[in-house]
Amino acid sequence: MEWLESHLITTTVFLPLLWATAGLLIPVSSQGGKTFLKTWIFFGSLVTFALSVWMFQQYSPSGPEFQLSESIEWLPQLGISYSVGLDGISLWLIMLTTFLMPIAILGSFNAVDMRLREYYFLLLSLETGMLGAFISLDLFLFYIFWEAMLIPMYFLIGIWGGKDRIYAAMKFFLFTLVGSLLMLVAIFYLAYQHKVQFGNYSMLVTDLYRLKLLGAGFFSPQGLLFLAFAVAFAIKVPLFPLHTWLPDAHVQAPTAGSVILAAVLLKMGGYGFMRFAFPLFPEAVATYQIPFMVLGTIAIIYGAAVAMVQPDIKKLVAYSSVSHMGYVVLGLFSLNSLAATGAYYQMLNHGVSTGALFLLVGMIYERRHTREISEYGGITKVMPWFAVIFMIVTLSSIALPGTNGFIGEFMILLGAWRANQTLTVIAALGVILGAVYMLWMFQRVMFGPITNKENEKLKDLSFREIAVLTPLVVSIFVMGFFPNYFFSRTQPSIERFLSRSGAKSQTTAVATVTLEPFNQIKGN
Amino acid sequence: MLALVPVFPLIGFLINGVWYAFFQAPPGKHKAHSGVTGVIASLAIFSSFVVSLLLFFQLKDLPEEGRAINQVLFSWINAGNFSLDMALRIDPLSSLFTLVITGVGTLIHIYSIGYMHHDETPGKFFAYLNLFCFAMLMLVLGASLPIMFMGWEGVGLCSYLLIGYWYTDIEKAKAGKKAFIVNRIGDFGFLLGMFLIFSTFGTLDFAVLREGLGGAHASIPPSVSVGAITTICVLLFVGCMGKSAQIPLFVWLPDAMAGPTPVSALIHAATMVTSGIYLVARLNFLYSLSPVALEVVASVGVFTAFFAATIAITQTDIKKILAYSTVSQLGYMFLACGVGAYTAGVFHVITHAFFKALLFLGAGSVIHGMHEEQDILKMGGLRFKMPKTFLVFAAGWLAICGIPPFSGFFSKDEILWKAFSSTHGSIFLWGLGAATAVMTAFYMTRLFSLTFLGTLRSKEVHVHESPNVMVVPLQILAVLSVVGGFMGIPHLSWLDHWLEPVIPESHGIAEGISPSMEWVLMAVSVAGAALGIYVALRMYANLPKAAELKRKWAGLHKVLTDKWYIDEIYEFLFVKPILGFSKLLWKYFDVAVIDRCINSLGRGSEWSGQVLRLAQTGSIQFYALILFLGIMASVGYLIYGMA
Repeated sequence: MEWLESHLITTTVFLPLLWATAGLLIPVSSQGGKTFLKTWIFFGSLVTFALSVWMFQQYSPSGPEFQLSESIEWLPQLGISYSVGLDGISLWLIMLTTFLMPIAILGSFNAVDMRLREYYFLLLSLETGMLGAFISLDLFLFYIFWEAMLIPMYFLIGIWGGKDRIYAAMKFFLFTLVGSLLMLVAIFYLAYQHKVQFGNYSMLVTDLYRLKLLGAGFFSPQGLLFLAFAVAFAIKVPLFPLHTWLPDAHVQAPTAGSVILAAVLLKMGGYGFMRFAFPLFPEAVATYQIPFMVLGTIAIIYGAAVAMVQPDIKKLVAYSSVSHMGYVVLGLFSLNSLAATGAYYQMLNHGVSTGALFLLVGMIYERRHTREISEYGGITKVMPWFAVIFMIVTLSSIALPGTNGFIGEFMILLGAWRANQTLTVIAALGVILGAVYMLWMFQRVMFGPITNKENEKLKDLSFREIAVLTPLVVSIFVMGFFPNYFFSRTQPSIERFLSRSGAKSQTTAVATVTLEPFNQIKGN
Repeated sequence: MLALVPVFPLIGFLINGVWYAFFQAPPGKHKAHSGVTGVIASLAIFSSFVVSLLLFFQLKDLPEEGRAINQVLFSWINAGNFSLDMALRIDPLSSLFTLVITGVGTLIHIYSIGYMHHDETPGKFFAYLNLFCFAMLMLVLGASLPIMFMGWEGVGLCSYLLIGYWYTDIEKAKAGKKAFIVNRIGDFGFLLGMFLIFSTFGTLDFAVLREGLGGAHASIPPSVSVGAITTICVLLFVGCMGKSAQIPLFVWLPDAMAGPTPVSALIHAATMVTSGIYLVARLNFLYSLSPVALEVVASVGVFTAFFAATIAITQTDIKKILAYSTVSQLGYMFLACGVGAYTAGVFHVITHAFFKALLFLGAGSVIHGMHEEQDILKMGGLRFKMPKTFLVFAAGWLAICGIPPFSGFFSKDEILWKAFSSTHGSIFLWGLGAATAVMTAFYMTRLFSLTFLGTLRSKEVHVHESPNVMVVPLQILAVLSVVGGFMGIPHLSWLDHWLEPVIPESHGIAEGISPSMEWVLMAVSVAGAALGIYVALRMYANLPKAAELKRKWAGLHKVLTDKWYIDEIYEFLFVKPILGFSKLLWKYFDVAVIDRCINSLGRGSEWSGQVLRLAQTGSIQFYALILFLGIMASVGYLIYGMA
């Protein structure tokens, strides 16, 4: 127990992989075996979640520093070590991952019937990869986990995907690989710089944060290094115009893959910016602020516009991700604490609501085996429970106040307003477009008379499906009404990353009932 | 106690909602009767009314300067140095609104028990209705703009759900979606206004903002430009255009009539659509600082009033007429706010809530009695078949026409007088307003005459009077429509006095206008209303002659019947181009440009591979290897080249 307590992070990260490896031994020739395997895997993801809850409780919300850290030397000659730790930024992303994994597994319980053992092995090893990336404090270790995530996803899309799965998987793989290789170059360069400046190689982020890198221009060493990281992260986000792998990957991936891809993998990009690109290259971030805010704004509008005209529900949701993640980039590059916190929150929101959307789409896909919007219509009549939950998730996606989506968008836009008003005005148009594409889709799928005979006999959600969706629906409201619970644990770390990335500390007046703050403002 | 006001309807929503979702919604399950679900919902909103009443008296006992009760529920958003509480506040202004919302709301809930008797899913209906009341109460009780915005979007959601309540009819579902999206366009302005307020003044709380600007005698702080205040006011007014259906965002309200009639009465006449006026009245100290913004509000208001009245003249659907009349009356309210007479605007909100709810519910009673017939050309002579409805409808009709001493007379007259006499007013604003009043009298009399007078034109319908559960609320509203105006009698106005702590009284009359003009104008507007009524009564007593007149003016009649083609123009100007452009982006940018670049990159490497005669495997591992070697080379360059 004591060992477990002192190696909590490591245990949580590697448990899914070990569990899945054991799962490979389960014979699946019979129906009973298959069910046993699924239950085993589901149980494993639950245990991982429980471990992460334990970890969550061990975490002290007040401090900005890394906690529960573990460090073992690995290749000391190159300054590479196995160093892991937890701060407010990784905390909720880890919780999001472990929380969604059981949901994704249970949600697609009957969706896959081919090569079950391999499927579940890949799914859980994907979880290990994602968790590992979130807790790595060593850049090389991060890179390994980053690449390790890629492989299971590649196979998940390529083997269990839809009609054009090979093309989609290739595209996904190449995009991400090209991006991350540039990052690898930069990582080596940083380690070398550490040797130049401090006498030894190191890949530890806390060491590298101290580096003084030359220049503030677009193509100064710092600018180039930032770009090398930023391109890798921007592809993952995905940021316009590097987003085109996403619609294909999403549409082709099996439901669980889509859920994890949207909910967690895309967050890698935002996380990378917060953990590495911003604090390592503060001057470069300031230089590239406006270009990236522009790209984020374009992504918001472009993603929404293209989502509007999609005939395929899954593709629509995929493009809506481009739009939603555009908000994240806009918020992060606003370089103030309000917008950055909003951006971080938006990542969690997007995980919950888009995860739920892909699950819902998966559920009607399992019934009808089509994703064409025009194939549906009037579904509310036969699937009232589905309608209710779909509605709630839709509202979360269009950021209705009271749901989680609103908190994120509101904070991002309010914060971005301080950084650049013109861009914020354009970005806020996304608020309108978001309602257009979601409600239009909802109307075409759910309302009207049932025109297609095949839809008349559709069964409403089963108990299992409702059980899968309930935690997400609850999260939507909890996160919408009590965001402080999340902020209080994250805020110190976000402040730290911002102060390190050279954001001007902006005093934001406080909107409370007391009158002093206003007088101060007036006095100025 | 304050929190109880919105909490009661929320509880009602939860009870009915959970009951419906778990025990009634699944196919084959028995649906609860409108009696039981309706009583639960009505009790919820009635409790809220009682609390509002108690709070009203509590406020009355407070000294005038401190007439406000605050309640902080919890800290909502607290990030860095931004903090926002979930806080409610009641003051004289919001107290009036809560009374109207819960009072008229209760009557409409009770009425719905009868009206929704034959509906398939009354449980769902009443759950939505309660949810709406919750959101509406949050809107008026919110202590800061974001809380208000929460209610603001919440009522929009309920409106969406209730317009599309009979969702199997795709047209109704589309009307709901249209309402939500048009409102979102307005909310875009609201959001930006909020951002600008925050970046200018550093607060989003109404009271802090007001105090900071100098309370009742607000002035522009030296650090802030008039331009910024004008921009704020106009942006927020864009939100009002959406919610309160003003030009150019009024198009959703007539379509919103697709919802059940009690919904039209509660949401699309009495309460939700007046939130725009509430917002302007709430921020009156800010609007008063910007003459330009006031001018915008007044002009948009008066043009909307006039424009909507012209359309109402030729419509034949009883609810559509009332819908355009609502748009028109909302225009009056903004006209009042725009000339700085916020109290007159609020006064008209209240009287309008009484008589318009009455007219809508009366229309509902007619529709109910006529078995879902909404075309007034097929009605006629209903005064004998539905005597009770006839009587109460007559009260509403006279009230909206502005005949003394019915409530509408007082409030409308006050608005017209202020439009003429206020320092922000002009004879032009008055003239358009007065012309609208004549048209209003005309089209409402037309409606009244075609429905209740003459003889029944449709032969096959068996008309019946509505049950008491529907008629009694109508009678109460009728009494209110008759006497409601007395709270705002000019010069003795209880209302002016009550609102004084929020809206400072202005006795400002523009130079060169003698106070006696008030009596002259009053006489003119009553004469105008009487003229409108007389002409309409004469005209529609002789239908063949009216039809002949219609033929004579066929061109104009068609334009008006087709609502000036506004929907078609929007479709052509906005909807089609945006959809077309989006398709273009997708097919020709996403797929053709970006993807082609990517694919050709892929092909490029394949080609170079062939050149090297090494990459014929085409395997991904091989590319990876090449890339990896490349990286090693780059690293080498970086380390030894740059150092």
